[in-house]
Parts: sequence; C-alpha cells; structure tokens
Amino acid sequence: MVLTDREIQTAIQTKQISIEPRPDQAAFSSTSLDLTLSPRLQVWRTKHAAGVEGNVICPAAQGYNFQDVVKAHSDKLDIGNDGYIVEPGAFILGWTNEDIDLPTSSRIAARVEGKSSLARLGIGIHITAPTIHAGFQGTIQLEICNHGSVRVRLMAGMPVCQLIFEQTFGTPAKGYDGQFFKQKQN
Amino acid sequence: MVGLVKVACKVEDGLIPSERVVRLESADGNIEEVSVSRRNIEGDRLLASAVAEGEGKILVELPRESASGRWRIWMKSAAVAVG
Repeated sequence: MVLTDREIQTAIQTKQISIEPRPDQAAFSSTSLDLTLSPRLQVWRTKHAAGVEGNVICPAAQGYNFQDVVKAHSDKLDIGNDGYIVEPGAFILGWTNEDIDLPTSSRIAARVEGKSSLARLGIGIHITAPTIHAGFQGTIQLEICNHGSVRVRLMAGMPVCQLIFEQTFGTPAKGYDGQFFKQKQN
Repeated sequence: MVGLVKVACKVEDGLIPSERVVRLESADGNIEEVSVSRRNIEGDRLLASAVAEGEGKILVELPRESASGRWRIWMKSAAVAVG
C-alpha cells in the first residue's frame, strides 16, 4: 500500500519516518516526496579514459573490492555555483541531501524513483536498484545516467528524485528482536 | 541475544562524509565490503541485526547490500556481540 502525502506527514510527525533536513510542504505530491541533490558527485571516467578501456570488473570474484574500483575509475567532484553538466552517455554517482531513517518497527519501506522533468531529458537517477528497505538509514545513493542526446546541467539542491513510501506486510525478521533468532539455519 | 548486534569490522571513510565503508570477515573467511551510514557504526563495530544462529556462527543481516550482493552473512559467534 502506497502512503499518501498526509500519511507520510503523519509518519514523519510520529517519527515512524525520519528525514533530515525536514522536507518543505512543497516537496510533497499526492503519493510521493521529492528529495534534493547533494553537491557531492562521483564521476565515472568514460570508457575511453586511460586505464579504463579493456578493464573487466567481476563483482563475483573472491576479494572483489568496490572501493578500489571506484577510486581507480572515477573522480570526486563538488557541484559549484554553475552546476555540473552531465554529458550524453555519462554515468555518475550522486546522493540526496536528505538523510532518511525508516525504523523497521514502522513497517515502512520505500522506492526511490526518477522525476519526469529529468526523465524527459534523458536523465535516470537509478539503475534498476530503487528499493529502500525497511530499516534503512542514511543518504540515498543515486546512479545518475544521461540516456538522452542533450547535455543536462544539474544543480546542487535541485529536486532530483522522489520517494514513494509503502507499508510492509508484517515486520522483517531483523525487527523482531530475536523472535526468530533461535531458529537454526544451516 | 536479541536482534540488534554489534559486529567486528574494519572501518574506513566512505565516498561521502555521511558514509563509512566496513569490511567484515564472514564465517567462511571471505571479506565482505559494505557502504553504510556512519550512524550504523559504533567505534570499530557495525550495528546490524542477528536473524538466526547455527553451530558457532550467527546469521547477520547487514544494513545495506554488500559489494558482492549479499544482505545476510554468516559470522563467527566470536565476532558478534549483543547490541
């Protein structure tokens, strides 16, 4: 079941959902809440950059280390006053300004989705990983890609994605304070 | 032991100030890398949830998916403390 704006606001007031900084009224729509873009980006180098072309990454390999990969193939960047231009085909990691807390006991999960205003220009904000699980804490990482043909300027603080909150059916095992902890699983 | 546990790990800075990268050694000796909120860290321990136990090991659900794609990892009991 998807929460409406009034239910989201009630959940925030009763601390079933925590969002810092607290969203403005204008950030809500009937069934979603807009989140804004943090100035911090991690920009993946193009496939033709030195040291990238020909490399193969295997996430299933023993000892796979994402931090090594991201440091070797991307660059940290802060969006300045002029914004950051996402070139066609570019892929960057971004984050929301808002820090989210979905306590497991609240029985609320969420999905992060794009905004049509950006989508119609070709900008996607996640790559098949929209689920924000019950119990999530922190800022949301965005996988931003320009699938379109025009260059798009992103500004820090702009509405970049929307959260759709859903009520879970029941409480996950991790929220049961050990009720299932005695079950043997081998 | 209850659901919330503290798991031994190595903690490093994440890509952004609000995140930390932790490395956990699973019961079978694999190293799992997870990016988490700094609020999920207490000292050199990761705050996580125990969901089951086996012979000398505990099944821990991570706050986020690990780099290898796992949410739940069997940890040696000695590496897990009551939260």
